Amino acid sequence: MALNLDLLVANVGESATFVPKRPSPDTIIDEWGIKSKVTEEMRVLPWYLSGSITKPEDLEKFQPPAPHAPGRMKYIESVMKLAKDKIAVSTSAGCPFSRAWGLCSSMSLFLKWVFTAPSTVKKLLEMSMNYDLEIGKSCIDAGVEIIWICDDLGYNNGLFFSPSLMRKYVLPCIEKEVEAFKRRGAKVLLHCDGDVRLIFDDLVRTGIDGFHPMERSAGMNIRQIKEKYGDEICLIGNVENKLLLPFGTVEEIAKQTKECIETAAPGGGYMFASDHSIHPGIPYKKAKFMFDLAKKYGVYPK
Amino acid sequence: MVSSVKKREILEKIKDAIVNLDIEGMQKACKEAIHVGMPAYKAIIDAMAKGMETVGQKYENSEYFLAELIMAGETMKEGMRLLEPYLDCCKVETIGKVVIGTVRGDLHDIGKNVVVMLLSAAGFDVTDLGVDVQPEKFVEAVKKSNPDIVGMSALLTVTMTEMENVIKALKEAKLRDKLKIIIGGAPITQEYAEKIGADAAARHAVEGVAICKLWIKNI
Repeated sequence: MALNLDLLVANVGESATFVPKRPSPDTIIDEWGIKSKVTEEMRVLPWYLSGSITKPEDLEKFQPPAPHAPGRMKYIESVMKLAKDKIAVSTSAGCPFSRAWGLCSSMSLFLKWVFTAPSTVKKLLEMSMNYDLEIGKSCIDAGVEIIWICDDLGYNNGLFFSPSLMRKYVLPCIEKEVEAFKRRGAKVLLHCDGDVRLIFDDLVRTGIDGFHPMERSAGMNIRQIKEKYGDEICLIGNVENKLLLPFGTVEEIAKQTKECIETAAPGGGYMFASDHSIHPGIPYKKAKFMFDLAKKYGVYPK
Repeated sequence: MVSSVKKREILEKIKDAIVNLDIEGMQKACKEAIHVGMPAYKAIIDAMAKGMETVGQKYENSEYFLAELIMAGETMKEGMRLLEPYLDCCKVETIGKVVIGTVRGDLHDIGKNVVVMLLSAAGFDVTDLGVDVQPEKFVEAVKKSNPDIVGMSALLTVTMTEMENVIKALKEAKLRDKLKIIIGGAPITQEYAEKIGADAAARHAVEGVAICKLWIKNI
């Protein structure tokens, strides 16, 4: 609230009966068997280390967590009560690709399996998607109006695998999630880092209502996206977070803030945000300056 | 006596196996190479390295992506596994030495691992220090292996600043002037490289390896 934000992201929690394993003081294993490092700097977001699936046969005995386990919705339910009429609430309920590879002992292993064990890749994606579908249902029924699908399909230099393989394996899962969440009454926003220009059209065709964050270092150009898709989707993001926000002057931050608003806001359909996380390297004062300026400058003519 | 035509065919099959990401094809071709008594280093240098070079070009042309780079590496690894027992009888000369690691506080390694794989394929002797590497460990590794190049990787803005610490530590140990330093990772730019005194920033693994090869050529 102090940052003057209009949209909150509140996510489902772990099952009330689940006790995370702690193999060491700074590592934790969650319900999905995913091991993460928990550091003081990364206390909000544990640092992914590895999943538990090391060979295709492991998947046969793998049991995903129960999506409707008691306690899972507790945080969202309490946020819905606090946020009523004050701030819009969204939930990150979809990550079919990210979870699928995260369940493996490494991303490299999953990417290798795209070629050597494609049926395992398909099963991992379907298992991940089926969980998301149930979680999304619960959240929408609890009153959440906006569902995020948070699935990084690329990085600075491109997609993790080819557009044709993305279309074969990943995009159908995203499309099913978008369709299910929208049918249940929610808007669906896609968070997808990286250079996804080669499948951007496909992503819009899944039916998403908005796209975030348009990473500048990945070549995502807000002007081009607005020109081509501005009538179809809401654009969210694009203020550079790796170098500008940590090291830039307030004048430079102000310039880019205004530029993003001037480019994407006309005609409606822009939500102001950075092009990636507000990470520990960004001074609080600069983040606050940026959001305050956006609030002041980002006003549609009456 | 095996004809030179037959040998060229086998080398072509090994190269194609890498380019086509064909592990089974690699296994067959390497077994053929062993059967005809082809020197293992020839298969590696004349075929595998060329195959990886083609894979690198396809990556730069956006025909291949990260997954293909990794699969090419796995295909090469399988070939190396089969040929390794036959390498003892031949001396494989390396073109240069590299010490590489992900800096302190950063656990990301997929990009760094691809670089290691491509450097090895290109004929470099690579010491991979892993992730979360303290500056002192970089210095220790440089003292021990006397490399031509040090490579550093960082994916986060908060950890990339460690690269400057490594360069400072190398300067204090009077080692900086003896080597080239290349950096890479999501937040890394050429401007940042110049700011901290690195010699180059690579946008991606394939570019990084090309820069390293150029440096070695000019030494």
